[in-house]
Amino acid sequence: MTDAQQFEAFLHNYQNMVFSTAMRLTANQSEAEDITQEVFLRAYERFADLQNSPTVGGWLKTVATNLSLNHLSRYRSRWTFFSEILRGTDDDENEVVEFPETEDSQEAFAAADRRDLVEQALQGLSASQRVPLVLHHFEGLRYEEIAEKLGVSLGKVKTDIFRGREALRRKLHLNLKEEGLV
Amino acid sequence: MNPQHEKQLEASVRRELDSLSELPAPPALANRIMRVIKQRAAAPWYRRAWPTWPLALRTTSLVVLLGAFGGLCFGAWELNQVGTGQSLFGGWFADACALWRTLGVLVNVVSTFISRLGTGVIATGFALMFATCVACIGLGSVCVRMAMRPAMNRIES
Repeated sequence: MTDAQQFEAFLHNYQNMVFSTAMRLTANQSEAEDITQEVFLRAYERFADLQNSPTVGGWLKTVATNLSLNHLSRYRSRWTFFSEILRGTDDDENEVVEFPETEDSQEAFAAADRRDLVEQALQGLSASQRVPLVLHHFEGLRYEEIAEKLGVSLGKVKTDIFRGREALRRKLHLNLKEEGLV
Repeated sequence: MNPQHEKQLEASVRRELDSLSELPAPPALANRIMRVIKQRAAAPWYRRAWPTWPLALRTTSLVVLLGAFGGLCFGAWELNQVGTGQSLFGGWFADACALWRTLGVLVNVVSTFISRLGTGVIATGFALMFATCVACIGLGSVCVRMAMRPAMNRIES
């Protein structure tokens, strides 16, 4: 197996993980693709070291996360202003994901459909709520680490995550009492 | 925020998010990445970044650059020792030599002026220069922070 073939196999093994990280942070497919490409170009430069490293997954995730956050802080401000004017409301927080009309609501959905809806709801959150939520739930970062990474206060991270969860609950019609959590 | 409600909410949302699997990358993405890698690999060495040059070329370029820098320093030192470039190069570089002489005179004037100043004045001058540099760095940092603030606020708010 040549180096190129080995790298191609490596790329196929990890591309979904890297793409998911970038996609959930940026909520934009073309940006996520660009970030994934950049992550693997960097990985190629040090493939000899990474190839047999047990921490390669963590390395790829960290690079993808950092590139996504850099991308968000660098480029979003250029167009968010206009998109917010056009949108008019605060980031579609109250928008509810459209569930198909069925009689026995949650049971009727196949698991894959449900996942699609959750994914859609997550990507519909504003960046300020989605980014800390994704960093906490998917990347396993603590609130303090998120605050440090984003350069914001700990209180703000807690508030944003709480609001993000509330927005998801509304979008997904999650009923805490019915789910036996009370 | 009600702590009980918060815990329920966190558990509920966590369950939903835990159910998510990895998103599939677009099928064409792997091919696109491999194409870019092949293009980069096919580029000649002088078009690539210096750290990716072959070791022999990196070593050679480093030696050449160090040699050129050393040669320049040595040449400048030698010219200074000779005092006048005119005796070395005759009339070929008359203009450059005149400029060199003028610079030499200026340096002499400045050094004479400084040597006549008291130690206190020189120390004060250095302190002022240092304070000016610190002020410039501080102002620059403030400007950069103010310029970057809107971008960070996008994530913050």
